Amino acid sequence: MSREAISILPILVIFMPWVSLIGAAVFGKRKPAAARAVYVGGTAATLLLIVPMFPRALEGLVIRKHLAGSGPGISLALRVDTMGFYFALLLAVMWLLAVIYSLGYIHGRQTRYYCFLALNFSFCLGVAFSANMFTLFVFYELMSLFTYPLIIHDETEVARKAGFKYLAYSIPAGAVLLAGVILQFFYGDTLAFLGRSTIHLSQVGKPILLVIFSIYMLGFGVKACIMPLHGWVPDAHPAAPAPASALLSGVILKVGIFGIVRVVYDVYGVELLEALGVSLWMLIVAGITIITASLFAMSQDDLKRRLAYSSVAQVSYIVLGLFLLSPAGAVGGLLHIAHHAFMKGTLFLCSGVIMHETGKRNISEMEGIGKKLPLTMGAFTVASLGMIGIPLTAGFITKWELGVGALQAHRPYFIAVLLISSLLNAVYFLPIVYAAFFKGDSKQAGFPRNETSKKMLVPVLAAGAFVIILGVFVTVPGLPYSLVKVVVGSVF
Amino acid sequence: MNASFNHPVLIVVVPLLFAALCPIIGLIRRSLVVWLALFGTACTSFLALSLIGRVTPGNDLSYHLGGWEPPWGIEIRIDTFGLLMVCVISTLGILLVLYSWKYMERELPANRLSYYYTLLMLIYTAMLGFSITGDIFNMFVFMEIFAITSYALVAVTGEKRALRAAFKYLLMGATSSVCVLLAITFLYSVTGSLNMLDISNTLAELSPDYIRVALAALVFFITGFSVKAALFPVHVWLPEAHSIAPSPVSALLSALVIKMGVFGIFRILFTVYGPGFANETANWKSLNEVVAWAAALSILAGAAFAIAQKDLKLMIAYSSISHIGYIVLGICLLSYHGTAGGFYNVLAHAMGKASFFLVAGCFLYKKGFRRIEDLKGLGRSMPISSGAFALASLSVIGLPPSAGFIAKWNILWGCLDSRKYLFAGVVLLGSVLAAVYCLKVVYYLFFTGPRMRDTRIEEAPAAMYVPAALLSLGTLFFGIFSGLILPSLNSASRILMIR
Amino acid sequence: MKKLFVILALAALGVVLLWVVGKMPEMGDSRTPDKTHVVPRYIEDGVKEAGAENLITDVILNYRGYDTMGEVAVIFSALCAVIALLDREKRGVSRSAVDASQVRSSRIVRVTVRILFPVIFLFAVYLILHGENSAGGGFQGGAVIGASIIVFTLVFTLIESTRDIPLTLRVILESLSVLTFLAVGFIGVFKGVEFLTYILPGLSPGVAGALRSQVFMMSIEIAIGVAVGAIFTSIVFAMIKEENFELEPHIPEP
Repeated sequence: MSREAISILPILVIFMPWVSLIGAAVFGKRKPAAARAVYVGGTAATLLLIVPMFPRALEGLVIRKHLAGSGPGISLALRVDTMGFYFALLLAVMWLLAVIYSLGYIHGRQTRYYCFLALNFSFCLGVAFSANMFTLFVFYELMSLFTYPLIIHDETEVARKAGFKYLAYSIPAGAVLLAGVILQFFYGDTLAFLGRSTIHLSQVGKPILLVIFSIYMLGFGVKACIMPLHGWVPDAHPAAPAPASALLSGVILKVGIFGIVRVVYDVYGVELLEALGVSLWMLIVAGITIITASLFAMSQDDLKRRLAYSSVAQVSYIVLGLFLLSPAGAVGGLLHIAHHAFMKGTLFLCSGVIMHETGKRNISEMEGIGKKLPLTMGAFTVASLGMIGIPLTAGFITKWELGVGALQAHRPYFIAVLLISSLLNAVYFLPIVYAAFFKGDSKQAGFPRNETSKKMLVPVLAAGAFVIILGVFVTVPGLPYSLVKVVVGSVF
Repeated sequence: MNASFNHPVLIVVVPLLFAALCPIIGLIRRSLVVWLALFGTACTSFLALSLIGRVTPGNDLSYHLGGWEPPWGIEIRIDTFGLLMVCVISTLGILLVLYSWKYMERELPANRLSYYYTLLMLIYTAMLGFSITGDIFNMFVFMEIFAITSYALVAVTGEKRALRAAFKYLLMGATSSVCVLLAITFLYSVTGSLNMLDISNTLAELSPDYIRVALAALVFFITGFSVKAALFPVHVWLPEAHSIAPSPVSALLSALVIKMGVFGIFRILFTVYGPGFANETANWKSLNEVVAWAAALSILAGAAFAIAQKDLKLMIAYSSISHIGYIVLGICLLSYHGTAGGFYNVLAHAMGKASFFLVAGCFLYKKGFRRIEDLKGLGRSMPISSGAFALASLSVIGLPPSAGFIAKWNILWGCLDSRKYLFAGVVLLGSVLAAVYCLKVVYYLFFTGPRMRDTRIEEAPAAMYVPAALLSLGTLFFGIFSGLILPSLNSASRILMIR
Repeated sequence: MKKLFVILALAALGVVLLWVVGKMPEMGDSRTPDKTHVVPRYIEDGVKEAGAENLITDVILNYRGYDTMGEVAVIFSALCAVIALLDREKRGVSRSAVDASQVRSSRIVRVTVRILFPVIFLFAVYLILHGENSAGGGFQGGAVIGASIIVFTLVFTLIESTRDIPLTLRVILESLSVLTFLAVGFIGVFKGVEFLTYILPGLSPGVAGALRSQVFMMSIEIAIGVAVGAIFTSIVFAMIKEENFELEPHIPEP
């Protein structure tokens, strides 16, 4: 924990996506082919820059870099620890898939779309590499604001409304979060993330600690869509273009989770949270979110809306895992960040393929669609099974760890929540798969077997493959499990 | 005595020199005047910036005019805050003159242009003099100059509405000037001095008989300067005057002139009276509290009115009331973080709001649009102006990593420091409201209207969008590199609180 | 609502003033701070240090000359404001209602003014030049100049006045008066002492105090007089035009 290195690499990583941005500005309209190469190249280069940090991250070595600032509080600084590296790696992989997919999917307003995609990438990486709460807040707010153009990309009336709702949730949340950060700064030792508790019961007193904690949960909870704050999710996800929804659901919601992770491990620390006794409340909220959102999901006919509600439920798994405050629970929760990203990413990308190829968004119209899009729907099936938690998929691993975590925390009744949720997942995912493959007439007009373009198919299949890989080769170094183990090992 | 010995006074005298030259040159060759004004502001700016490093917190630069030592003569006293004001005024001055070049050519008949630039140079003189003087009567003299010139500048186009707005401004401004003058006479009658530091020392051990007079003077000072600063109950002149004036003038008024009122409040409360005022700390504190409440109301009322506006410039004008509230609140929190934050917002708001008005001017110039709803899709046809607006709105809202955010952060810190949690809530609510009115415009600019490929780029002249864009970039620069200014503001404020 | 607000504000003002008036320093009491703190030096050393026999002139032109420079700038701003806002003179020459054909003062008035005008003007010049030693000074003298020209205008119509003292001339005079003030100030700067320190180029500081100061103060007085005269004249000229002043010949009652 104490070993640190200084390197320019994190800055490079954060600014690498700007290559795509500049590429878009330079080539944008005149040379579409060159522009596309730059979009993919910039994202891939970012991934390549992140990878070299892997050995250090696995050892728990921290890379620090101070950027700018004016003393205590106001300081922009970067720091790569294992958790940050894990999240950045996930971001880069997801972004690469989404950008490749977008090449086939996005047809209008490309320059703006890729610019904001790149900006969001950069800011999300900034969140991952933040060395203190101030920097995290800066990048978080930027990311929050710059997601808006992605949501209203289509500029339809629905998208505008969704965008408005998104801002109506995000901006007050930003203000609330600012209050949290300044309060933490005022009452705590430091805003820096040191991998230990930086705010103390003996100095501050319980009421203020509770206030700061609730403010943080409100602020990050909007992005992490904890139940009363989830309102924007079911509107924004369906309104955004499919690759953007995949990113929204797969990683941008997780940025909120990442903030909560920082609050739990680097601000409060496990012991303090136990002493405060807030974890049970958070567990109850998470449990309610999981069950209620799943019930909401069942009643949706719009596929992307159903997926969005499912995301609300799934993200709360992570919250559940974190607040079990037991090692296995933490492993399960943190693993689910990546596992859910790939599963939900696959599902959203599949829904995009369906919309792109058939123009259908309602589940009731999707009978027999598996015959037209066998590979896509195959990936969809795999991801659905993952969501349910069938063994040999990524979903199973997290559910297993969460279950063990619940037992370790002596709260076995949360296993019931997991089981009910799995059941509900099965209820709302399997009928889609069933209808797609086994219902409907295979020779029905308009449904010839005709897969989508390679640009879209490859990311879909890759994401689907990850669901299996993460479920089978769990302990291979470099996959989430190895990194999460290091993170959890340093905390407990 | 080295060459830079006279710099402090040159900051005031050089723009006055150019102001006097402008009409004469204007009679010879009209087109030269703008270059003359540009050169004059550039010289002033150079002089002001060259003082950086010579003024450090707790180490003021004092200059005795005519060689008469204070309190007999007039003293120029530049502290960190005055230095900040001087640098902001003179640097913004260059950009505003540059902007006026094209903009005012269209607004004014050619024979009046040279008088416009004369007025502009005079108002710079006045604001610069006001910021660095160490003498309250001298402060009043400069206040009169910038008041008179700003009435004239509001009405300079001669339109009926402009004249009415200017008249309203004049009535309130004159009342406020009378208040300040009355306060100065009160203060002189009990201290026998006009020099700020001398008064401050006298006030510290003022005979109990006179405390009431001194307090009344304080009340009149605050009232007078509050009108100039457009704090909430006495803000009524501002929206009309700022929205109807030509855009560079609006920018000047919003970014700089109302700051003079704030600076006056600050000078009186802290430099002249100060926490040690005749053991009347309780009275002094409660007056601070009252002003802070007025500021908090300004924040909310200004932002709420701004949301309701349909006219872009009117919206920006109301937003200025809100931001003046932030600055005054920060100053009156009696925490040095708050003071530093308030002054950082002077910088941030000067850049952000000037950029807003300049962009609004670009839209008016190119398209003739005033209403927010008309701005549909302008982000595509006027990308640089609109981009400047979007960037500046980050700072006006107070979103990171802009300068406005740094200011807000420090003000919030000040709120916590002095345990005024309610004010912290007001600051946060104010920025949410600011997000509503700023993002509404950004939304119309960028996310409505025709598609990119259907629009042609029709930018305003470069002399207009370049200043706006530079100011917007400035908000970002001073947001990221806050370390350039904030530490010295912090230590200067700390010295202020201890004294 | 508005009225109520105004009444409340005035009431508050009145309350503050009443509250404070009893505690104000006694009028005429020689021990009050305003007479014991700064003033003694002005009275005792003023003539010796600052150079003018008139102590008021010492204060406004020497001890606090910078303020006076500000006041000249105020006047200059006022002139620019008036010209920028009310400049109708060029257009007005042809359309003015104040026309020689329509308005014609009686012969008695014209003759009186013709005789008095030079005298008034001379008195103004005396006031300006003698301001150092006795009551008077640039501001007062300038006001008298302005008054004389206003009287002239009212009697002999604007057309004649603007022909004799055109706008351009007034503007140049005004600018020059500011420039004079600055030039006087800058002499100190070039000699390596503070701005507005009165030093003759050939003399070192401290030598012949009265003489050096008087030369400078005289030039400043003249500048102020010219400036004030110009602004008075300009405001009246601009206002006459703006209001379309209808001047009826005034016939005194028999």
